[in-house]
Amino acid sequence: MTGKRIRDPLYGFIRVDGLDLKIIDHKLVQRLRWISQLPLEQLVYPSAQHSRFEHSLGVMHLAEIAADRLIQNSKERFDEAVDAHSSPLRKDFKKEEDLHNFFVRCAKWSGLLHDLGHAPFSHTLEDACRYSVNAPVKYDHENFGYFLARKIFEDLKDVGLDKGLMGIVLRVLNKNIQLSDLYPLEILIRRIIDGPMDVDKGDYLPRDSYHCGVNYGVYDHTFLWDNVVITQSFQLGVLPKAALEAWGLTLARHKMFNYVYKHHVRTITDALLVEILQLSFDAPGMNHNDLRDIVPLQAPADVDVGQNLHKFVHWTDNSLLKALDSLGNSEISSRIEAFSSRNLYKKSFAVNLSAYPNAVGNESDVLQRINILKNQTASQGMAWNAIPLNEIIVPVFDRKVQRELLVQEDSGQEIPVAEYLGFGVDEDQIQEQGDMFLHVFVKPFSSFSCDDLKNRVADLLKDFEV
Amino acid sequence: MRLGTYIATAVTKLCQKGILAGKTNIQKVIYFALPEDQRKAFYYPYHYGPYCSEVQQSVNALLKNSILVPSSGKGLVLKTGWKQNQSDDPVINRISDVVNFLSANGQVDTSTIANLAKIHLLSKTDREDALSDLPWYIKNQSRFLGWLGLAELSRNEIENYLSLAEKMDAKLMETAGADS
Repeated sequence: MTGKRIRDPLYGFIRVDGLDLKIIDHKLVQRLRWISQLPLEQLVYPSAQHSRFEHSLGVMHLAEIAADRLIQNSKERFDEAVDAHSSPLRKDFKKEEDLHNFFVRCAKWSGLLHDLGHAPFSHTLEDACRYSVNAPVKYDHENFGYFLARKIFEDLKDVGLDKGLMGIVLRVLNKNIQLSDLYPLEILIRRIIDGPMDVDKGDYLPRDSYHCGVNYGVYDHTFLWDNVVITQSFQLGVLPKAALEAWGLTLARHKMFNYVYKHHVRTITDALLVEILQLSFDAPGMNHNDLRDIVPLQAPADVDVGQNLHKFVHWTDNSLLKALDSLGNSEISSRIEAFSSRNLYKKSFAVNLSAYPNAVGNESDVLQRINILKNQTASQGMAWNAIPLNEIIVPVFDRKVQRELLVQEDSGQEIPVAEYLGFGVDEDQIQEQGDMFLHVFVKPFSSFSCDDLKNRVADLLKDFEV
Repeated sequence: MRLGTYIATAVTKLCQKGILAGKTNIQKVIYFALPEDQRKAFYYPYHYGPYCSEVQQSVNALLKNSILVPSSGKGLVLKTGWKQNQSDDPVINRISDVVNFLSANGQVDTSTIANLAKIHLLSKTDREDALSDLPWYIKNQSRFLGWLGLAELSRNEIENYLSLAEKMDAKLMETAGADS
């Protein structure tokens, strides 16, 4: 079947064959062209106008390389995983090469389809749903992504896609199936797509960096993914020569989070957009059906309802803002105006939630209560909003670097990258994530007292003391 | 989910039974005590068994607030004289039951508790190969999750752990029934 070469700013060309194109051309994949990868960061870095479509192609490309190199670099362990698979794969494939191609394509398509369920303004919309009691659904792109991938495969059932292959891709994408329940080959693919060192961040870090016009996300992707191995504990690791590059990927991630993804302007717009969405969910007289233009998919079965799927296909950053504006609610429209014209709130104060140990893992509950307080204070002329954010930790102490990123030494033994590079620390010094802070933003030139607001927030948080 | 309260309770109960209140054991006690949907949502298979980063963060928050302090030996204890807020959360009762069960069944060593948690996690599967021979499945699957120690256990040892895991679930079901 005829293939194509797709131009890409990072990799030069991404090669796809006829079967890949069948999937790429599906409307649910094409939709990703209209979903911005960094919709809020654009307000800081104006050239960050790229889409989830090109990122998905990039992840597909890196997944192909990583899967192929895993087989080449760790043949025995790959064979062990094949032998432990559910169906007798070796009988299905007469030639070793066909089995390899099968595995590589499973990884490729898992990469291509991994972001299928993303909403406009991605994580912001998901947060708004989590923080609102009246949200029509706790939207989760991974959950819906699985059902959308299944829909693509159903639509393409007559074009000769391999059933076993589709089954593996769907199980890898289905996050309701825990890693511990997957078959060994699926575990490997899940780790390629989603793990401490995965092709998802392997692509988005340099891509976002490129489009923002910064150098923070750069690492040597060719060298890193060429030297991946399956370690003795069946994790994704690297050969010793690529240890520095694995560390380089983590450093790149740290820098991108510091300067781009958690830029204060991005955080302020994030909080504003969450507020806009919450206002739409809480608007009087709205039922879940009225909110179909805001969140078209509210249950997995909606994927099979033509009208809802059509709305989903056209659910983009612009269409969402338009739908919100057309609700005719002045509170919402004024905020959209502020958002569009970059007329933003200012930082007021931040509260460290680690002083309230029952708030950890309970951010939805905290934010739902903050929302109630916000509505109460609105009548007193207080215009403010808030959002929880993890403090960024120094990557040296990050558990991923200290324990999860692995190097396979020449002896075959695996050791953490940190230890291999000589900066291993004791368990007590390892950090998970930074402290969670509740950041509070206020409308500029507000006349109300921030101390008063601070006290009210502190009172509210007392419920989260132990 | 009030993780801070759960952890403070787990530490109290572990110390009362003379079981090390270290981070790994705390993780596992909370794992056993949470309802199944929350277990699935928050825990994932990690080197030492089922692991939840929120639990770890919450332990750190309690340490930062000096509600938990390092004990004179190993592990953690609650600050002397510190009183916990009352709570009618059913998970609190389940934490108590978990620790009592571990103690009554001699499961007090950290690696033994970790093995029990790993086997408990792996036994909650609907994979066909597990249904036909669960001990074999656990041994085989452990290999691919990096739980090499577990993969080396004998069939008999795995069956013993499985029996204990089932008994613990039954005990916790009783508590859930009494709570409702």
